[in-house]
Amino acid sequence: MKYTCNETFERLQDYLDRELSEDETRLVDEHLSGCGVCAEEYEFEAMVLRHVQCRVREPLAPADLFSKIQASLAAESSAA
Amino acid sequence: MMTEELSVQHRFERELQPIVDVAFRYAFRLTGNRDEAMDLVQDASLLAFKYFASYSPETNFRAWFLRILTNRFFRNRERASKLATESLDAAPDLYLYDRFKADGIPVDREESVASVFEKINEEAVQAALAKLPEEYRVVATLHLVSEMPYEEIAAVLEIPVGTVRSRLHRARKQLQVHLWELAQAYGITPKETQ
Repeated sequence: MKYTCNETFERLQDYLDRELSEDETRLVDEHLSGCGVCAEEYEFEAMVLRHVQCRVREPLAPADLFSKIQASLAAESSAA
Repeated sequence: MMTEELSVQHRFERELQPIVDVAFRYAFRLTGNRDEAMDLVQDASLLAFKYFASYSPETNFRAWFLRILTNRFFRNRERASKLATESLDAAPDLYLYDRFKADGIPVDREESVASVFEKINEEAVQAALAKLPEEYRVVATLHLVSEMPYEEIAAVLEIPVGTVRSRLHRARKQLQVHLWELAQAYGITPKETQ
């Protein structure tokens, strides 16, 4: 069995998110390795996703956030 | 009693510490504000600690904690329904890909995509996310900040996996429309990117 361009395209987002089954992943892999048009679309979507993720994964939590939580928990525990 | 209480606190902190960064980033993307995000994570921590006895250690602490944080966020906003149905215009597939091609921007080179995203900074992506209806934004944010699997997002939001999938796919398409609008507003033209 082989996927067509349409069948591959329908699964592109799930493929990007690694949500396909092993069999489906293999079939998409096979299609992409033999179809330049679909491969270009996939590579582009993957690049956009990487850039968006990179922006969204800022900022880090403030360094004192966890210690503030610990202090609140300690206060809560001692009040209980 | 005090020793037992401290030990519960210690166990709770041990679970919480590894996910504080993800929780903060998620809270930051929901609220759009650092101080509110810190307050939200702290509130959720106190609430989670209060109900820690109901958490089963063999289950997913991150999903459990982020569910509490999400509910807290919606409660703070005094929403009658935490995930009311909102409409989202259907955006076309491969929107950015088609716009790049139509404007003569090479789609097969990392540097051409990077040149556009160089100008779309973190605040701009936040603004694009903020334009999404809330139920879509929540799903997209959970996925983007942590690459959380659909099943875990479903557990956090207490919605079916199929709903996560459809909301995420639609949100991502709409996000591309917003990003392109921003790219245009920032004056990114084919001439600049070639």
